[in-house]
Amino acid sequence: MSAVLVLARATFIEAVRARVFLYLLAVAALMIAGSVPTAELGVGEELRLTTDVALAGVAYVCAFLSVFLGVSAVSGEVEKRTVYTVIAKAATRSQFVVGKFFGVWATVIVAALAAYAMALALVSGLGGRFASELLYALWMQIFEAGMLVAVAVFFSCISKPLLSSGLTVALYLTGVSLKSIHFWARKSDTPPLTQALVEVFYRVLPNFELFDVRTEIVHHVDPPLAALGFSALYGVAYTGILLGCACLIFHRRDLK
Amino acid sequence: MSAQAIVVEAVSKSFAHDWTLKKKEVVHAISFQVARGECFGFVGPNGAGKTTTIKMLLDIIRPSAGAITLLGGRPSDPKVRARVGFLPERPYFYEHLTAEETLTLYARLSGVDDRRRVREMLALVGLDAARDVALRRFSKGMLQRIGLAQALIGDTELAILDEPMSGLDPVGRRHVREIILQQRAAGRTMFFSSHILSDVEAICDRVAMVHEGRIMLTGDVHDLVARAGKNESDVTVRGQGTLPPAMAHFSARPGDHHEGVVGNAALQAALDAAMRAGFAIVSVTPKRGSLEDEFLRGIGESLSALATKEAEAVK
Ligand SMILES: Nc1ncnc2c1ncn2[C@@H]1O[C@H](COP(=O)(O)OP(=O)(O)OP(=O)(O)O)[C@@H](O)[C@H]1O
Ligand SMILES: [Mg+2]
Repeated sequence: MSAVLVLARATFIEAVRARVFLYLLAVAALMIAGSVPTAELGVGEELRLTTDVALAGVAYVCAFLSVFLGVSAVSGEVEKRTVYTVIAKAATRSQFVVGKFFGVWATVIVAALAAYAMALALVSGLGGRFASELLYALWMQIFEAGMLVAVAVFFSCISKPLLSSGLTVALYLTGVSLKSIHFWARKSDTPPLTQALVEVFYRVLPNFELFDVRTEIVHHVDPPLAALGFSALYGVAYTGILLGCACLIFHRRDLK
Repeated sequence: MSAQAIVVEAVSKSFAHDWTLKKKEVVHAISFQVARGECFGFVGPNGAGKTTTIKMLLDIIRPSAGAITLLGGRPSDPKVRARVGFLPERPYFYEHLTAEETLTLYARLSGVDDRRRVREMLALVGLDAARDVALRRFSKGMLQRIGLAQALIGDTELAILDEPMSGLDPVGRRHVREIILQQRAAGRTMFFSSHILSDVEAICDRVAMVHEGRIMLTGDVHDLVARAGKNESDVTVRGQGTLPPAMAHFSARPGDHHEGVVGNAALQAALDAAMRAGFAIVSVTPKRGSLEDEFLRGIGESLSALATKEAEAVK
């Protein structure tokens, strides 16, 4: 078995056996269940509200898990010294970083699958039939999580978990509203320098807004397949570049 | 195949301070070699630079200067590291994996996927019963044992162990000593650090002594111990009457025993005289020097040499 797979597997097992994982699944379940009362607010609109709140809840849990596991994936192992024995074996440092990434990503995917299964059960219990649209949302969720984990792992290669989580969350919050910021900046009276700066950010920063299909879904509009494909491609490419940079940095470091 | 398992040539390491970035050199151009099949002790007091050197051997940190050759290759080559096992100081592993899962992980990382070998290693380090216990429930001594097992799993030709006996009770220490000797007998090169000289004296062929980032002394353990020898013997005799003059200073022990120290030069004559005076010889034990004596002397010499140099520099 290749070192990447071996490490990803160990990372995955380590993560799902930790108590935090169970707690987070419980939180997801609570958020999904908590969307039931909002369903009863408006007659006729109940399913819309339910799905909206439930999907948002799942997205939060996935984002939290990605950041939480991602930021300590590398630096946490250096701190605890678990990395020493791994690196001293035949694994290269790149294999370590990539293995950690896939392990964390797999963990988030499993959490997302579990949460979507719960959401699906709830929606059908309330008489809705959203199966195909939920699948779109899940698809986007998976690639969004991959990119977020990559951001977290990247920072994890250069700094301590606390700073890394700050930076990752900041990038994520910017990323989910990147289009809106860009749109706002292009309006008339913004100074040209700011406009140029925002333009650069818009092109360079990870665009998490691309993965947001929740609005379409609750409005029963199928997102175009091209958009689904493009977002996935974008996510994979961005993830690849970030991991490449992370490996380069991690290769040069003293692990102390 | 190179005859040397480890060649360290003029290796230095400096660390930059976290904030000021001021560099501080903690290992100063050290050189030593470890032959294949040898049991080599790397000894020195706390803070001497043992762990720092060992981390450089395994590419965990990189030397600021100098070169390291491991089994004829570079430590940065994963193919070389696949043949090297490492037990870090105060080892720590994934805490939710069981002992068996942990060893399977390390076996796979070194390219071996062999359930039988995993079981064998668990038995070797005495963790049979804890096979299905998660490592977060392990005691310090148990972690040390699983650490040793993962270092030796795979096709390890060279094992590098940083203080393998620390944190172990006397039975555990003896056990680890036996494992090291047994591995050496199986043809593996064993390199380990320690600040407990008696451990090193008991099982090593050769040692290097480090102090403040410099090698003070390398050599054959038996030569070093012999060099530190005191040239006198502990003598015990039994009987009544007057002891010969060479033993006049002996102290009396229960049961008509008398014991004391006699210089080796006068030993034969003293024993003859005692026997003529009707005493029985109970025991004669040559006083051995220890590695510790030699080590302290080595440090003392280098310190006084340093002091002289500094004094000259001041002049
Ligand atoms: N990452 C680091 N940054 C700065 N200084 C360091 C670092 N690691 C070690 N040192 C310094 O290097 C010196 C040697 O440390 P090292 O851990 O190699 O000693 P040691 O011989 O292993 O001691 P011990 O027997 O206590 O384990 C010490 O003075 C230590 O403070
Ligand atoms: Mg040490």
